Amino acid sequence: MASRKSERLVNLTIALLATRRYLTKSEIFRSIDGYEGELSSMERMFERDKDDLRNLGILIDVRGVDPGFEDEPGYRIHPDTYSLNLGELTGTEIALLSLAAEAWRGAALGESAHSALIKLRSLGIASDFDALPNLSPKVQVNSTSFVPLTRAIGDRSTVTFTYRSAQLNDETRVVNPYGLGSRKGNWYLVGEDQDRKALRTFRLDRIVGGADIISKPGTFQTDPDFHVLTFLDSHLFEPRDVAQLRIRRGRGHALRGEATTLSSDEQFDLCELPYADDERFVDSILWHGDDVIVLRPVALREKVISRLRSLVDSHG
Amino acid sequence: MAESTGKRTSKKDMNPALDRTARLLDLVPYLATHQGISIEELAREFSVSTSEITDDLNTLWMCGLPGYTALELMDLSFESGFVTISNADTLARPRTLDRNEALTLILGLETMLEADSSKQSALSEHISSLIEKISQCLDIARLIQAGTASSSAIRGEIDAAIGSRMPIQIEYHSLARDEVSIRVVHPLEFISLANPSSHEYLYAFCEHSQGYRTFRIDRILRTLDAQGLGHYSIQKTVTVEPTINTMVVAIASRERDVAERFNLSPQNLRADSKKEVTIESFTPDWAIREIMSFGGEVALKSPPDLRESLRQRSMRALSGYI
Repeated sequence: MASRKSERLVNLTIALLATRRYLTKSEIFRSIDGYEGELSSMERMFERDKDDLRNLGILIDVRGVDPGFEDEPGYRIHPDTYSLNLGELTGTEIALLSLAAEAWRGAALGESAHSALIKLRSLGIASDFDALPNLSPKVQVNSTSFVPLTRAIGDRSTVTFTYRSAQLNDETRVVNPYGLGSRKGNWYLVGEDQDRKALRTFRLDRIVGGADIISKPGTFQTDPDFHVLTFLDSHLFEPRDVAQLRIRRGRGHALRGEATTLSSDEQFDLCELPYADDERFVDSILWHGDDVIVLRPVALREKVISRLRSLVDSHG
Repeated sequence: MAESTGKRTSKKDMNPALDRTARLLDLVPYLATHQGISIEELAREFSVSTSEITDDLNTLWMCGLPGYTALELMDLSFESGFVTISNADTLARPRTLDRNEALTLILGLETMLEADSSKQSALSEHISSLIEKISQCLDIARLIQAGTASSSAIRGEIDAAIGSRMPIQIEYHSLARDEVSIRVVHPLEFISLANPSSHEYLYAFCEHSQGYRTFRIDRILRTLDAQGLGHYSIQKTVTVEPTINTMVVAIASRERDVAERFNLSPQNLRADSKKEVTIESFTPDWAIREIMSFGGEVALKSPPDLRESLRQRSMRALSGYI
C-alpha cells in the first residue's frame, strides 16, 4: 500500500536523521513504525526501503557499530548531506533563483525547476526583487532527448539516437556523451561517436525523437578538465580568420554586431569581421546580395564570386 | 532498451509511493516556513489536488520519532482549512537539490548573464557567484551549460509592459528588409512555435503598421523608454491578412539546411526524387535572400517574375566584384 509505505519511509528518514549514533537493523525493526512480520520479510523490506531512499537522493551512511562485531552494521543519515545548504542567501539571491526556475516553465525540466523552487521557498527567506532590473529569462529546450542526455552525461552511460544527416537521412548513432551546451540559440551534444571513433558535436534539434540509454553507469571515462562551452567555442565558434568587407550603410545589421568599421564613404562602410566557418560565412555574405562585398581574404572572395556565377547560371 | 540504472530517475519514472514520499518530506519544511497557509494554496503550490494534499497531511500526522506518542509525533492542525505544523524539527530544513533541480537553477541563471560582460557587471558578478554556490550541489556543472542569452533583460521589459498594459518602444531588425526600425508596440503575449528549433516571438499590436504582428525576440535589439505614450489605446483593429507567397525551388544539395531554413517537413523533401519542393514565405524578399545564400545549390523555378528578380540581384551582386 502506497500510503503505508510512504509513512514508513518518512518515519525511517526521521529516525535515521535524528539519531546521533548509528542504529542497528534490530534497533530499527524494534523501534520504527511500519516494520512488522517475520525477520526475513522485514529484512527484505529494509533493503527495498534503503534503495528507495537512495532513489530520492537521500544518502544512508553505513558503518560497523562495534569494531569487534563486524556483522552488525549501523545506519544513519547525516543532516548535512540530507539538507540544502547554500550558506547565507539574501532576498535578492532568492529572487534571482526564483527567476532561474521560472525560466523553465513549459520546458523539458519544468517539473524539476518547480520542485527546486519549493525547496528554495521552504528556506523562509522573502525574495527581494527591488534591487534587480526587469529580467525574464527563458530556457529554450524543446528536444525530447534533453532529459535522457543530461542523465546519461551524469551517469557516464552510452546513448543511442537517430540523427538527421546533411542529406536528410535518418542515421542511428551510438555515442558516449561528454556534455551539453548552448550557443547562439542552439543546444549541442558533445560526445564520442562509437562507430566513427571520434569526438563529434550534434545539434539537439537534429536528433529525431528521444535518446535511449544503453549501458550501465560509469561505462566510460571523461577528461576531468573537459568543459563543454570551452570545447564548443574552440571547435565551432572560434574565429579562424578576419575578413575585410564593404557593407552598405544602413544594411548588414546581422554582421555589424561583431564588425569593426575602419572607414566610410558615401555608400559603404569598410569593416573588419572575424569569422569561424567558411561555409556559413559565405552563406551569410550571399544572403546580403549587393549590400556586402568581400575584399579579403582572396580565397573567400573567390568563393563568393564563383557562387554568384553559379547563381546567375542556375537562374539564366 | 533503456536499462534501469536505479539512480536518480526523472520524476516521471518514479513509482507513486516514492513520488508521495518525496512530497511528504518536502511538505514539512514548506509548512514550517508558511504557517497558516490554506489547503487550497498548498495544493496549488505542490501541483496536486486538495484531496491529495489532505491525504498527505493525514499521513504526516502519523509520522515522527520512534515512540510515536504525542511527544514524538509531528503536530499538525488543518481542520480549519489552514495548516500549521510544530514538533517537526528533524525535517525542518529543505532537502538538498537533486541533480536535475540544481541543473535547472544553474542553466536558468546562466541565461541571465549578460552576453556583453561590460554591461550590468555588478549583477553579472552576483549571478556568477550564485552559480558557483549551486554548482556545489551538482557534480556535472561544467558538462552541461547554457550560453548567455541577452534576451532576459528584453523579455523582462516586455513582460513588465504586458503586466502594466503599457506600450513599449522596440528597436527591431527586420530580416526581410535587413532594416532596423524603432516601433511603438502594444505587447500582448510571448509565443513559441512548435517547430524544433523554435524561436520565441512577441505577439503585439504595432502602431507603425496598424495591425497585429509577430516579432522574433532575438531580433529585438533593445527596448526604449516609452514613458508618456499612455495606456493601451488600440482602436483600429484593421489587420491586413498577410499574403502567403508560394514558390517552387529545386534543391541540388544541403537538403537539411534547406529544410531547416524554410521550415519544410523532411518527409516531403525526401519523398520527392527530383528534389523540387514548394516553399512558403510572407515576404518574397526574404525567400530570395535565403535562396541566394545557398549560392546556386537551390534554384528558384517559379514564379517567373521572382526568378528573374533573383537573377538580376545575383548579377548586381556579381558586378560589385568586377
